[in-house]
Amino acid sequence: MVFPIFFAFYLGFSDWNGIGEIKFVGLANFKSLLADERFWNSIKVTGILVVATVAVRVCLALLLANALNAKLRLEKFFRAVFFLPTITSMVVIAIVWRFIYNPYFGYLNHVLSWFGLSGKDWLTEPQYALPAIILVLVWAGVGYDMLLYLAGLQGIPQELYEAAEVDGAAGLRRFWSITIPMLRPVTAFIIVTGIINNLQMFVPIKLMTQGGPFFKSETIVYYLYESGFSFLKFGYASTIGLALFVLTFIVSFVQVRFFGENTWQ
Amino acid sequence: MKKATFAVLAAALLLTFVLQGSVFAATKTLTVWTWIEQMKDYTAAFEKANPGVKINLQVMPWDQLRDQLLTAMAAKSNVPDVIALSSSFAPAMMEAGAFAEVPFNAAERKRYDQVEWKTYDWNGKSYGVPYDVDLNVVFYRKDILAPYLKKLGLKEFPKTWDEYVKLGKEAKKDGNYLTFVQINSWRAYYYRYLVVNNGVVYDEKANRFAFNSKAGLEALDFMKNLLDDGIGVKWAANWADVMPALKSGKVLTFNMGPWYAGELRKQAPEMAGKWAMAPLPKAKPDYPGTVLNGTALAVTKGAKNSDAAWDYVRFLTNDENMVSYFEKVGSLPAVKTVWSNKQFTEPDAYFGNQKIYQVIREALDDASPFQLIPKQTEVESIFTQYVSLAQAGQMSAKEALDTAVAKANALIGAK
Repeated sequence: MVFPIFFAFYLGFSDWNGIGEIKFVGLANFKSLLADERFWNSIKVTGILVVATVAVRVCLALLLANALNAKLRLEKFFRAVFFLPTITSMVVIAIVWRFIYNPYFGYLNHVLSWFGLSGKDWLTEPQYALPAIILVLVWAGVGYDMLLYLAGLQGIPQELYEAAEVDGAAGLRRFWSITIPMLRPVTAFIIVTGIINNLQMFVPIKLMTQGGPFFKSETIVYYLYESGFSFLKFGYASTIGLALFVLTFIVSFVQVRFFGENTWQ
Repeated sequence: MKKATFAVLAAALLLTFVLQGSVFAATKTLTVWTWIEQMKDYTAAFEKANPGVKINLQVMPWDQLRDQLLTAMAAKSNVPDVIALSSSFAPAMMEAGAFAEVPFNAAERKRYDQVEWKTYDWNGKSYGVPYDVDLNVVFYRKDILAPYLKKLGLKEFPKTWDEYVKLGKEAKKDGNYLTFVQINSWRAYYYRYLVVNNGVVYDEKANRFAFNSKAGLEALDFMKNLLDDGIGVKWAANWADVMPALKSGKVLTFNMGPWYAGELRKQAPEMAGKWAMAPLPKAKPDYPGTVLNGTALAVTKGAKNSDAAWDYVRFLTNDENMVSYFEKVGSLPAVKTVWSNKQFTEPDAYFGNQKIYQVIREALDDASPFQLIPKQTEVESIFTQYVSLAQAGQMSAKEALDTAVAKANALIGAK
């Protein structure tokens, strides 16, 4: 467990094609990395993916949880429907969505055509590929967040709402002033874990767009994989890995600071 | 009594170990990784002919094979002895020194069409034994296209781009597409158009990338126009899309390797007689023909059982097994020694009694070997991305190719 970590660290400072000798090159990889626009692009793509995915998931999950908490009919049914993608393998999800997005035979364009909308080539047009992937990630993850919120909602003491009612606070006001603050620990948990998980996004990229078109969906980890396994630059791939490690560390640190110590208790 | 029992048991145990040891000593295990399932069928015969050698053959998709092979080589453990090699990942690994040089003598090499060796040569040494011939031919719906061809005054499937585009426009009038245009792989499509337009990817004299030439621009424009004019339909290499589109008659041709004949027979038996095969059209009649590549067999460098491994490769590529491989897979065997067999000269019932192997051989005579380029995979990934941008109309073809070539040249330190 410890050895691979140090080995990867060492590789980050080496030139290695995975087959021949490992050559120590000092900081050369880091110099190339800083000048590598493809790497900076992958950071940008990952950033957009992480922020959009997590933000949409949080908002949508909150809405769904509140709707289901309002004692709808068929509540259990809906809960199961929203949760199902969470227990499905990402590989299966990616393959199924590839069919859905297919421009000629896919369901999505077919459904759009009912409303007179023209379909798009979702995965191969530069402006749609990343949003299309984000949609899949939201679909796949929102059920889990919703369950967390449901649990959170049930943990809010009913007295608070009753007191607010006595004071004459209306529904929306109660939502903003009681529900959201009381759910803060849940929100923090969803955001922090969501960001860490999505920073390492790989499987749907590999299966749906291969980073394309025009690098528009090339995440850090996909670029890392390409650098290692396609370009046989395992040293450089490790450097990218180290950069991702540092990035994750910084992002997590900032978040912990942002949400404050008390959130986690 | 107890002691005696113990002694007998101990002796029996010891004997078992000794026997097992000797069995182990006599048995070599060859590990083979491939994506060609039909290779399994030769295991028993090889083991019978080579007592003491066991084959442990594992079938996996080619990209997984590449990843696992690299992982094994990096870890220096569980490296297979023999692998199937694809030109999509071979050059980078040959460059890195992953494979053993092919120890074939002149007579053995002569069994092949010499152009075939070029796909797996690196710096003058061969690292892969050609296993099958793969080049694109056109599979076309003879029944639907015949009236159009007649109308255009063509006796056969178009040989030039001009005729090809005219045919496409006729098909379009009836709401059909002539072909698929693959847009997410530079190598799979753009490169094929480039070669038949007399272009090269890499200028071997000047040691620099050069496909932003006039030929390169024309090739990209041709490909883009196929889509813009509604002659071609975009294809993102998603295999599930192909057969339904071909069966529906919406897409009338498919450019693919000869092995696809086998897929048609298997997946569309009801369409027998409707298909025909033709060489890929070229920009001009005197330009080079389509790109040649194909699967090869390679032995890894430092393989434990290197001799047995080469025996196995020789066994798979002997005349008899090459013919039977062809019968299973349908792609033309790499060795020309068997091409005079009747399987390769007889009319093919599925293709309306066309002699399809003559078409393939005609294409082969004209074919250009797959050009091996430095930093192949990395350069390819840059090209694919820029071509996709030009394809989407977000960058002019010229700008896309110029930028891609500049980046590729920077990568290899060429001016």
